[in-house]
Amino acid sequence: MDSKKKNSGTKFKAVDLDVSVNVSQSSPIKEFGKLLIGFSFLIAFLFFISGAIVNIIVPLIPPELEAKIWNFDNIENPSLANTPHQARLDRVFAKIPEKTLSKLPNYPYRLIAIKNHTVNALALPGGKIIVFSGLIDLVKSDDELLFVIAHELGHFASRDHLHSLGREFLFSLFKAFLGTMPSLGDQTQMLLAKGYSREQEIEADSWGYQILKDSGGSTSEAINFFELLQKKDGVHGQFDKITNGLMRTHPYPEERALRLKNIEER
Amino acid sequence: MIDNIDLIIITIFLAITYATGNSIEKKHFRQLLERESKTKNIPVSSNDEPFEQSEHVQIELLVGSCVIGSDYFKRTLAALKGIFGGKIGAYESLLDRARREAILRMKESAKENCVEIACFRITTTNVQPGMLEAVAYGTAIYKKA
Repeated sequence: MDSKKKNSGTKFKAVDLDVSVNVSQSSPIKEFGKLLIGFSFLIAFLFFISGAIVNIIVPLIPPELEAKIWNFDNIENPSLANTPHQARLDRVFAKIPEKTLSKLPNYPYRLIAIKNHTVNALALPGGKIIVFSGLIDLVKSDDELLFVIAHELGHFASRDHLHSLGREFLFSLFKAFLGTMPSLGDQTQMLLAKGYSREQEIEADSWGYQILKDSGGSTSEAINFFELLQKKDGVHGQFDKITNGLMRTHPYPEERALRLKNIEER
Repeated sequence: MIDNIDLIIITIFLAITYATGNSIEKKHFRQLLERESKTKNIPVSSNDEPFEQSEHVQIELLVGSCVIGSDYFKRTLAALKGIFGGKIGAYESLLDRARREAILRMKESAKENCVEIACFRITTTNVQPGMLEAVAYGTAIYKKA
């Protein structure tokens, strides 16, 4: 600017520098995009590697050992132990023939009704199936309930809980090795894990369908059940589909109904 | 209801911090150029011996320091780079700003009759992750009036 300004005793002529050589002139957005893609691939790779390792390890764990590790002895809710809810569960479970059960892993299967308005059922590691009273009240026919139980048995058949748990565990191990990992890694892993979970549900649905058929139940009740769920979700379900599709652990009821219809036609 | 709220928040955060960080950085670089031009007539050297060898001089220690923080976008970018390696451009500009600001503050703290700054040194320290300080110091040589 004012290079001609007098500065006594200066032997040097000053010049302006426009750019700093110490700063890379690259676009940060472009760089970020490239890194993000690379990073997602890395996470996906780790996710599938952990899946492959888990696939080797899970068959080596006997169901009896699993039941010992996770016994969940204190989960029973005494208030529903001798109620119509529990009785209905036991009655429906008894419909499943011994031959079908023998095809499944050798778990000490037990059904437990729990007082809760949530419409859900869970397969706990070690062979316990939790069914909430909300679901037992919702389903009209016994075959619908049988399908729900059969679906949970399907999870045991593929030992899904061990697979998900193993993947989570191995992934956190890899994460520890990677050191400081941006939270985006967790997000990517979560998306992949949710996708995997939906696959497991579909697999468990086909198991459930098969078990229902073997037990002499009416398979159309399974489709009815999903239509019932869809009706229950209503408009909210449609909204959720748009905003939340990739984050769901379960596929949409209508999708599941459609899949079962396809199996039926085959 | 919306499970992917984390992802949405992160994306919004990244976008906002990129926009604000970028505008702050551009403004700072503009200011730096202007101020550097104003103070460019004071030579700075790392020589122990000043160029101005005269008995009629006064000396003074000048210290300029600048603490600068990175934004969320830069930190995320750097963390990703930390996995794959390579030049971390986002931090290069940050450090460059800190260094130049520190030198400028040092030069600006010199009085009117300063003819040069000798024995110049510069150093950086980490204040906390993503936040650093650059300290520039040197000996101002003043001509006695």
